[in-house]
Amino acid sequence: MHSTFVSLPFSIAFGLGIGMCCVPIAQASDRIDPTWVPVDNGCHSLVLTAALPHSDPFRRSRLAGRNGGRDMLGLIDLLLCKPPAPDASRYWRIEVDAAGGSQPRATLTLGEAGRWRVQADGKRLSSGIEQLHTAMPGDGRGRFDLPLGWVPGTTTAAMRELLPSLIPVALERRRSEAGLQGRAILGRHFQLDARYRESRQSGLRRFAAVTGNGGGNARAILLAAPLDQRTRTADLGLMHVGPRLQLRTGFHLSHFDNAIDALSWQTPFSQVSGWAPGTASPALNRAQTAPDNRFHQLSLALGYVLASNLRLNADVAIGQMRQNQTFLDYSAVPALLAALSAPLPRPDLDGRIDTRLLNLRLAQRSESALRWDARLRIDDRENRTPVSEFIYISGDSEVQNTAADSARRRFNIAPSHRDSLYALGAGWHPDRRIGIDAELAHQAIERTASARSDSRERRLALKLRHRASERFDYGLKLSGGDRRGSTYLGSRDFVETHSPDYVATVPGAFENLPGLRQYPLADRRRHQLSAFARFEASERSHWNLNLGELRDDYRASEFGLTDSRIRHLQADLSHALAGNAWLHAFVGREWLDAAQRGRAFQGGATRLAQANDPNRDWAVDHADRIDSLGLGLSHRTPGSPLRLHADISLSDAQGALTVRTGSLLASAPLPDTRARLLHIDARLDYVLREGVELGLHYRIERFDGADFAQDGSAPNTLANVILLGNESPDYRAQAWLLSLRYRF
Amino acid sequence: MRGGAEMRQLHIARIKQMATLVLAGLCALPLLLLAQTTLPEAADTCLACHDDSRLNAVLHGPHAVLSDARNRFAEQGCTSCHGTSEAHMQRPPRGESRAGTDVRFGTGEGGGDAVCLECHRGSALHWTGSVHADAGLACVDCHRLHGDDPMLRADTEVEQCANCHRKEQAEFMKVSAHPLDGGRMQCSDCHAPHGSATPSALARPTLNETCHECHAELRGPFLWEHPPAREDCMSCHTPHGSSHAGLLKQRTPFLCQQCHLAQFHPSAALSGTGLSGSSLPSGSTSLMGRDCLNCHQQVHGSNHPSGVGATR
Repeated sequence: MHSTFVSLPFSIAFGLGIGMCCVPIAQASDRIDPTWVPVDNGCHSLVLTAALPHSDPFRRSRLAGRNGGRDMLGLIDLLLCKPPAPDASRYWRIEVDAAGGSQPRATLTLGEAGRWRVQADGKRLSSGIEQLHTAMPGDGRGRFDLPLGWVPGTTTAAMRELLPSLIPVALERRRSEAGLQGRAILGRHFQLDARYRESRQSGLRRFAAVTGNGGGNARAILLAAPLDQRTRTADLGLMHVGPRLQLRTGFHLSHFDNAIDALSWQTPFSQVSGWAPGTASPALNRAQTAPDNRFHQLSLALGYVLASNLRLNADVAIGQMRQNQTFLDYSAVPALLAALSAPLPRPDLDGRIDTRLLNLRLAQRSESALRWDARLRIDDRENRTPVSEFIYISGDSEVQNTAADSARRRFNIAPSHRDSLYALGAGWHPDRRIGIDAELAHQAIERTASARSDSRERRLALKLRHRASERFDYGLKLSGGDRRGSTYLGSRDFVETHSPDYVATVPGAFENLPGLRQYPLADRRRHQLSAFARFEASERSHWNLNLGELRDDYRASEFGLTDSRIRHLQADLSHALAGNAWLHAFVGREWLDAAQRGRAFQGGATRLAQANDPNRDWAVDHADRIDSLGLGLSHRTPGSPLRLHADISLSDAQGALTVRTGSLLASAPLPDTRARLLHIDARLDYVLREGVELGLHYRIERFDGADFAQDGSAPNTLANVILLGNESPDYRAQAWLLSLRYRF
Repeated sequence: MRGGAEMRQLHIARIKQMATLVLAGLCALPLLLLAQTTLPEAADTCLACHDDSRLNAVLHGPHAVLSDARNRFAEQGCTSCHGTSEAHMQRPPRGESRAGTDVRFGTGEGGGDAVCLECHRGSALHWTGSVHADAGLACVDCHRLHGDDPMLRADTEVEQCANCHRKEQAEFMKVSAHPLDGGRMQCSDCHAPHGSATPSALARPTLNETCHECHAELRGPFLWEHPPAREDCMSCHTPHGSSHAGLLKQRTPFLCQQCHLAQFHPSAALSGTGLSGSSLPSGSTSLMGRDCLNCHQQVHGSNHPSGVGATR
């Protein structure tokens, strides 16, 4: 796969060379003097780059990802094209970017202006590499065996072979994409669009492999699990493009296939209290990966001019999501399978969600000062997945409990929802200098299998834009919303997914605290303010200012998220320092504050007493501050062969968590967190002769973080979880790049 | 001796290379068909004054192709878009500046967008009443009509959008962000800048469908659903960038505890008492490492019959 992909640009270049070698001869005989002066259309360039990365691997930019173990990296960028011309409607373009690197990209476009266009493209993406350690590297297909001589333990403290067994592992998610799309203009009023895209994900990712039956008995090992997934999407659309009516009918399909159906691992833990005999190390455990699924959708989009400046838009889409992957067994442990008395209720889920969307918009935009529009949107997701009772086995570690009041008797849920939005907007724009708009919207969401079956939100937004002069304009937006709804039934999910006999045994018949309001469903008052100002001091100096605040007050939430406030302030300028030097600068700060509350309680005889005891309350205040800085400097003196360019970007996030607890709970402060990502790009280009440039480029990417959950963590840091370990998530990647650019 | 599968892969690779060679060779053939001819008189008249490389670049784009009947360039030359502009063609009185063309393409000016939409009616489908249209943007605020259009290039589109969307630009600089650098992803992968059927001008009919376009493994349906994920990915995630891992809106485990406060560890007060100490092993499983995700791996939904707690 890799070698074929990398060789693609070379093959294209070679083939094109063969194709082009006779072209100049043919053109010479036909050439007549043009009446216009050809310009440099930017076609035909080749850039050869030698990159010398050192230190840690990059995680961003086109240097991110694996480099095949080579120290020095050769990159090729190629652009060949024939743009359309007045007398030549056909065109083509070949663009290859970073061939030879870990993230190459290639595009081939062919077309005839006004008639057809075809584009084929391919690219590969990398998430960047994270160097970690594992004792169970796996076979690449989802099977993980313990190393020879493994000494299991109930906790990591007893696993004396854990540290000696560690080997390095590089986590990286790779995505390879290839696509083909085309458009054909069929006469004056029709066009046909088609698109096919295939995306394959591979590499290694973290996967928490759990053994144990919940509560304090669960044990886990984090694995570097392989990925081998493929998504194929296709779209076909036929569009009518008349002067009054535009109509598009489309069909969309998306198929997801996972080549790794399950992950299997030998548990590294020895017998823990509560585990059934035969389930301790080296028993095999199993988890299911993302199941194959399908999504098909038919759509119709219509735009129609009803009258002068009055336009109707209608969008209808109906679709279906399906998933029927065969279930794995309740357990992978033979002894537990042999003891099963209640089999799976069905061989697969036969999951199905029908989707229906209706969107209507009537909009009037005329030369007069007044404008208005009305919108209706209904998004209906009807989940028709069958509901069954499953008597599950937790963590491959217990004998199936089929008692009528067993906590392991569970019903799946099939949540559906219908989201309806009604909005009316009006604006007053007496001239192009000023505009005032207002919108009133009502959103209603109906749900099944939810703590809140009906929520409603009213929103009002006001906008002002004013162009005070040719050089200065500003705008302001204010909005507010109030969400409320039907009675919040916090225990609904608990009651509906457990057997009634079990629910009867649980004091209070609730799972989550009754005072909890899950924030996506909770009553909420929202206030939002944003503003901008633009100032053009001169043609060579532009200034911008943006600020905003978003405040959410979950006024009825006793527990859960109770308050959230996000503010930002940003300024940027683009300024000509001197004749040929430009400065682009950007600076911003964002404040993210949130408050949440909880109450710690346990099970058993003290459950209700603790759940009602305010001395067991706790609260956490979040205060994150993120500073952003961007700086760009470019310089080129006319006639000088030298061109300089430098870019710096910095994102510096600092987080503070303040935990307060009631008198019956113990607490201690949490350290502040920090995540600082710095990029520096400095480039120097020197024109050797017309069309030939030499470039020297230095790039640095540096991450400095402070995170109490990650810093210094090793596989044996926790007692019950074997981590992948990350002694220091910090990294510093650097590279020198020398490039030769040839335009021809 | 190579195995059969290896040989088969080698053959496939060779066939792909040959196909690529043929395709690349074919794509050069249009050069043979090129023959340069004179421009229409109407265009020559304009070029007599406007002999500027930036303007002449239109001759290397689709807007000046003579055989494309839609642009009327063959009959009308530059006036097909800019209007007959008779006043502009007249020499101005001494001391006065020359009149502009009849149709101008600047922001909020003289009907330029209407000219564009005459041909680009597909883009007009959701344009009227869209966010960009109502913000007063003209086509030329984003597109370049006379040369390489930055909105049609993977490596320049993001930069063009960021000229206005500064807040999003700052968010993409955060530690956790979609890879918009270097053209690896584009704004238009998720958004439809000419408007769409969604409030945020998304490329697909709904937010989740837009996310599932690339993250189809999270689409399900699953046996054990996580209802907020089924309804709205943005319940937990912020799409443009976050200082928390996985584009999350808040740091875990506290994000999880904003909805899950059950007995024992879900409702526990997590603070500095749960940090790992100098003697190992130590520390709270709910706070350290991947906290909740140390065990509850399948937060988007599980399809394992025993995956009730998102652990299988």
